Amino acid sequence: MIKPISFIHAADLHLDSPFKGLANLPEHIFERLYNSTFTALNRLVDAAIAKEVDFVLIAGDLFDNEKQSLKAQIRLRRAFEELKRHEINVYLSYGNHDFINGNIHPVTYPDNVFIFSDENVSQFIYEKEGRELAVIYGFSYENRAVLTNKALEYTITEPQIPFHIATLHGSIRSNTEHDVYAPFQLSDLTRKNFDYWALGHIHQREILKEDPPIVYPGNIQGRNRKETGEKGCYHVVLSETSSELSFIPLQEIEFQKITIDVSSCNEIHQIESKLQAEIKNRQFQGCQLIQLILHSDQIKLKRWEQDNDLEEIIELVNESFIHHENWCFIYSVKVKIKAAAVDSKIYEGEHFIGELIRHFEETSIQPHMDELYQQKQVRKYIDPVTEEEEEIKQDARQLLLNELLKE
Amino acid sequence: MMLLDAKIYGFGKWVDYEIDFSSESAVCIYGENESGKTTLHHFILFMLFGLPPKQRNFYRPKTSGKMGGRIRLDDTETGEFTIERFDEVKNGAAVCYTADGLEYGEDWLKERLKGMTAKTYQAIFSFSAMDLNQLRDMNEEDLGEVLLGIGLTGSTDIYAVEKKLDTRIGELFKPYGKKPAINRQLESLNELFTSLHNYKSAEGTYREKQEKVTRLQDKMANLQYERNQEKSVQISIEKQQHALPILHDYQQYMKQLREFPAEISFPEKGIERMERMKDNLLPLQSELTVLNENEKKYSKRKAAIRNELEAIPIQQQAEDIIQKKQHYIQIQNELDKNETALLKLDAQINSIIHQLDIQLKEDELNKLSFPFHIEKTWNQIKSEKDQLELEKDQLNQEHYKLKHQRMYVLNEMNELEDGLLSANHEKEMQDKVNEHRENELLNKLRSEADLKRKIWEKEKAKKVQISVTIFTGSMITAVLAAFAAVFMDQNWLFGLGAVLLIAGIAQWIMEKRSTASIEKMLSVEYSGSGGLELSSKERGEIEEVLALNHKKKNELTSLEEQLKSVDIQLIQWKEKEKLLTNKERRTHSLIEEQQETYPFLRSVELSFWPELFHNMKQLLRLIQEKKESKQVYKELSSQLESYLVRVKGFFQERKWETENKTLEFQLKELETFLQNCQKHRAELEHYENILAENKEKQQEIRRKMSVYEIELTSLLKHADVSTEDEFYKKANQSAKKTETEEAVKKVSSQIKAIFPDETWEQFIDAHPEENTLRINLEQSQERIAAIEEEIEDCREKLAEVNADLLQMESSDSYSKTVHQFQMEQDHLRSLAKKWAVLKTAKEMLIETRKNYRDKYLTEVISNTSSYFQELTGNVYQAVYAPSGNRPFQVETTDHMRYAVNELSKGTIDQLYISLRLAVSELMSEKYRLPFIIDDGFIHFDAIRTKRMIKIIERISGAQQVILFTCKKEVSEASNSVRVIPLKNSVRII
Repeated sequence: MIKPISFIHAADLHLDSPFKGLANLPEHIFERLYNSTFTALNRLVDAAIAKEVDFVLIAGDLFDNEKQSLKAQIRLRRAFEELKRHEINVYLSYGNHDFINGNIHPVTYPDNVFIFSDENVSQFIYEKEGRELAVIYGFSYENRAVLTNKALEYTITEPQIPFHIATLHGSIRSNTEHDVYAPFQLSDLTRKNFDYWALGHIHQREILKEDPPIVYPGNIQGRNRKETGEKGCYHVVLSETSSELSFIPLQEIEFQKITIDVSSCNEIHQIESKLQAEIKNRQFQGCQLIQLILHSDQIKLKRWEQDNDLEEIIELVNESFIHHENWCFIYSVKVKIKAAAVDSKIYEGEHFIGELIRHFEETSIQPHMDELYQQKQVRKYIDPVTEEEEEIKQDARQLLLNELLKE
Repeated sequence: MMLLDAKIYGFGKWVDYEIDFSSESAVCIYGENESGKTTLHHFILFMLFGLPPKQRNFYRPKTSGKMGGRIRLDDTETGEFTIERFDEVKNGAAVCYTADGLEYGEDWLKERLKGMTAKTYQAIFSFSAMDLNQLRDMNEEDLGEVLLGIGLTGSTDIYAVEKKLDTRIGELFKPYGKKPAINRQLESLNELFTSLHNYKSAEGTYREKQEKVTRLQDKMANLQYERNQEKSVQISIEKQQHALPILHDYQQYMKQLREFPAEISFPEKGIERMERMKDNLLPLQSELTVLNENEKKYSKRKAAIRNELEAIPIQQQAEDIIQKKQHYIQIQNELDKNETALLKLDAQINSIIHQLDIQLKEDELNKLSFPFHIEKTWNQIKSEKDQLELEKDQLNQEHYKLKHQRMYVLNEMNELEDGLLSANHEKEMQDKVNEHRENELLNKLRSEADLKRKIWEKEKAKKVQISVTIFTGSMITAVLAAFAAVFMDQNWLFGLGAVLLIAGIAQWIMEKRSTASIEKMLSVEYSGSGGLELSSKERGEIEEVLALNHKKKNELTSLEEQLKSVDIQLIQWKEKEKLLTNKERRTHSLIEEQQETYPFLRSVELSFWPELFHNMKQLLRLIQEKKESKQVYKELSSQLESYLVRVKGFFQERKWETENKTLEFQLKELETFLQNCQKHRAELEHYENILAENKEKQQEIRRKMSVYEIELTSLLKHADVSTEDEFYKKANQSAKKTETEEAVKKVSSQIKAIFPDETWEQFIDAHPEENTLRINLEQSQERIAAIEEEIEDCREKLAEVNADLLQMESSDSYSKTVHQFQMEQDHLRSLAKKWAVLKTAKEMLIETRKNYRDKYLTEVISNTSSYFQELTGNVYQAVYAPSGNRPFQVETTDHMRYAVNELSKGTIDQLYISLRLAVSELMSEKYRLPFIIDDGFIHFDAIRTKRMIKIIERISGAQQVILFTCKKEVSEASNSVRVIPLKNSVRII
């Protein structure tokens, strides 16, 4: 009878990489937020200690070379040291964000940390009480990208050792949402006789396959509006016959996307109370950063938005939630007016509005954007309008329509 | 599209109202103020475009539950259709019914309206007095633009929107601004970027610093290694230095060792043994020496003392003298005593002689002697004499008495015989006799007392004499005692003297006192009263004289008898006198006899003879004593003399100094001499004892010494030497050799200790020099110091770098700034997006306006010109749209051009209406929607109204025109216009 082994599988810690799309956060929320990746890391360590796991696997992207802070690695080192104090090994590989050659800070980790040192798949043997219990395989990104199918390179060595665990930072070939690195097909993995595939790179956690488990644990802390919901790691217990996976949330702050229909609100203050009620209803656990999407069939919602009235209402709502222990903060509001509210035929008119709408459709806004976006300083900080062009156009058109058709 | 009719179920004040819009020309709906024209207008708009719920609510009739209505339209394309709207149905959405009975929704309606909205419709096809009012409120400068906007859209909004957008864009961003949000954001981003850059470059040094740490650590390790190497070199040199003197010693010792003979025979622990022997011998020898010396010393002394002690006979003589000394002293004392006694005797004798006051010399006294009866004889003589005296006195007295008696008796008898004349005289006489008797008695007593005193006087003199004698005696004795005390040095004699003195004085004082007291007693006077004469006694005297006379007679008789007896007594007395004279004679002869024998008695009264006898006897005894004393003195003196002679003789014999030396001193000298002799003898004995002891000791020591000496000799023999010096020399040699060997061993072991491996032999062979070593050491030390310095430098740098690293590691400045930067960037992005939206809106608006203008303005302006010309009654002939810098202008018929802001209000109103009409005309070509004018020319005068109506009549040919007015003249201005008065209708329903 071989004793089961247990470990924590995490990936994409992205320690200390900045959060995108968050402007004007109150100071204390900002403080919490910018420390949140570390808090999540600490929770990971605590979880590992509490669960008394044998080791911790981290499948790449521990931090971002691009915005690499020394703090990230120092905190990482401290976390590892803490794990060392509890005799928990760490097996880690570097991914596309923390690829080896891009690491600017040479921080040495304690000796309980085993790092896959290059792009060749190699392995470490985990020993417990003198017995070799598990072989952990993996590779690290030496450079920004690995475009070959690394999955093919994984082969089990030393089959006498009970457990074989592969770590892989990459994505399924078919994935289009992310940059595809080390692309593989599920069959590439299932073909091999590994007991567990510890994947990384995709921030949305996903169990691709139950047996053997092929798992994306997701990142440990949401970092933008897209990374919503609970974030964390998997606690895995492998025995000869079974595998138990349990998700452990680690996030300090949860990103939420809330869509509310406010068609019924004729007055702007009604939106406030509706929002209050809506947020309370949801009974959030932990701190929440909320992206709010307001739907309405009333065009005035858009006007409220454009006149900054909505912003003020949001501020009011925020005001009532940000001081809670488990605060909520609406960091972004989007307004969507149902199609019915806008006269689709209006553009057909010979009149000026029709002419205007038609003009919107015919014209690019790019040249007008240059005044700001090509401004020397602005250019330094923000990218020119490309993807957002349509959105801007829409907003502008809506704005004009609201203004010109105001009753 | 034409409005045919409408049915209002409920809208504002209108409830269940029907209205027919059909007319050949325009429709004028006339009603006074508050008649519901505008409500009707809004109803039409509601029917066509719907209304938001709030507004629907506004128009909900108060009197009816229904809100809604229907309107029938005639569309050129679709034909007739009805729009029906109810507030409560589909949220006010339209339901359209076509002629063919089909039902359509809002969308269908919108299609029919060709994208026209209430807003656009109002902008194009309806205008009211309100619009004109608005126009009046316009800023003159903006007027041109506004009019242009109206020209384009029929509405004033474009310009306002443009302005608003511009403002908001300006609030967000100005290319060279500071205040706008984006500019500010850029500013803060710049700051953040700078600090971010700084932090980043600071963090960028982490690697560098880490490498530096490694470098420094390597360097330090190297340096430490180097230092250790150098230190071992230093230590080796120091060792050599340290060992150098030892090495020298070693070489020295080796050299010394070679100089010693290979073998030296010497007894084991020879010196020690020798020393021990000597240690034992030496005290013995020294003791012997001491004893010898003592012997000599004592012998010498002994001889000296012997010499001194040779004259033993002298000594004996001296002793003899001294023995007699005591005797001498006794004699001396006795002599002294004797002398004193003699002196005393002399004094006594003299004092007695003096006292007695007898003319006797000592010599005479010596010859004088008293027979044993003399005393009695003298006493008898004395008493006889006294007896005689006494008897003699008695006889005298008797005689006197008798004589006196006889005389007296005779006298008396005479007197008596005289006095016997009278009885009185007799009595007187008698008294006088009595008195006389009394006096006589008193006188007798007085004489007795006198006698007594005389006796006392005698006694007193005697007593004084005795007391003086005793006093003097005691004084003398006291003085003598004092002398004796001084001479004999006997203190008790002083006491005795003092006691005698005090006793003498006391006795004297006592005597004096008793005499005084007796004298006092005796001095009492007997005083008697002299013949006191008492006058009262005269009668008594007479009686007394009578008695006396009687008595005298008696007395005369008795006196006669008495005379007889006295005569008899006188005869008797004469016999007695004869007898006494005989006795006196006999006694005298006796006295003379005695005086003959002892002549000295002549000077002494007989009464003192007994006393004299006693004194004389004492005197004689004293003289006797003196004689004896003198005899003794003589004897003693001769004895003393002989002793002195002997002493002197001894001294002279010895030839000792005798001059001026008292006997006592000589005796003392003698005693000293004798004592010395005694002492010498004792010393002599003492020395003899010592010498004997000394000899014994010497022998003993010699015995002890011989034992050691034998052993000593054997030691010398063993060492193969004959003398002790040689022995020691050899011992020294042997010891030195052993010492050197030891030293060699020690030194070599020291060297070995310093150079633990085999190098010490090399070292010994190398013969290093001190100077070279010192220089080497100095160099090495310098090198070490240099290395240490470098290490210290390294260490400092390392500490510094490590501190930096630690600081960097603990700092989250960069991290935080990154996040902040990201956040601010996002903020900028969102601001930029806002800007982009506004900008886009503004640009689009401007562009569209431009396009629109390009497309329609010419036509609109030309239409406007004709309307304007018509309305102004050909005052103006043309309107010019703004282009370039040229503002909106109008041209009079005389070709004068005015900018719009130069025009009067009324003209602007006309221009506005012209524009609206022109736009409407243009648009109506497509939409053909009815043109609604809600009191649009309320301010017009009659001429203009006419002109306006004319135009309306003309327009209504092509387009339905609905004119709301409250002015009768308007409604009545045209014949063709169908007037629908509202007032009545309302009343009707």
